[in-house]
Amino acid sequence: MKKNSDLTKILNKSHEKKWVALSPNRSKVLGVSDNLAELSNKVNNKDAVYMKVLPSDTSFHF
Amino acid sequence: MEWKVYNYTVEFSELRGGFVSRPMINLTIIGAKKSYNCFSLIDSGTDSTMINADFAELLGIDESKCRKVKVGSVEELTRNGFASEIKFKVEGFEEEFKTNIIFLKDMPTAGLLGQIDFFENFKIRFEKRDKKFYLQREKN
Repeated sequence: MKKNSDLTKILNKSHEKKWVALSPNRSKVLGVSDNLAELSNKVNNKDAVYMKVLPSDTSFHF
Repeated sequence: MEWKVYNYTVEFSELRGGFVSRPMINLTIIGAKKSYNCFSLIDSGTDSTMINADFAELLGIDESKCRKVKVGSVEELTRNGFASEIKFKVEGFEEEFKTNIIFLKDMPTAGLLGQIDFFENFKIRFEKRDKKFYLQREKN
């Protein structure tokens, strides 16, 4: 399965600091929420890919 | 063994040219009843693999029964995480790994794949200029 690696096509400012559920090939946003458990229940897709979107105005170190 | 190729993940950034690309990969966290896909950042500066504690809730892991772990960062702040044994799979590989992962609350990202578990088990080649990275399973 070819995976989308350009998330600028599907994510924007409104997704920042939130949990998003992506389709398995990461080409679509299936849902967004502040709460991962709520999102997982809402999306109800065992193959969804969950990520937390970093704010775009911040340089990160971990 | 063959190298598997992955693309850097591109996101918006207001800081540099409008875009930032990061080496991210899907980690499937395997629970007793369900599995969840956690899109994680490969981070050579992280010691143990760390997963956002929101996943512990999904997996039904009881924090009160887990070993507490101190987690430090470059700001010299120390926070408490908790460790629990889980199984996981890395995108592109069928092998299951069992390890103690640190769950940390309020992480800004879903997961960080660090030296223990990830770098110890895979050869990793970053080719940032081409926005690609490569993994090869490295068995002891």
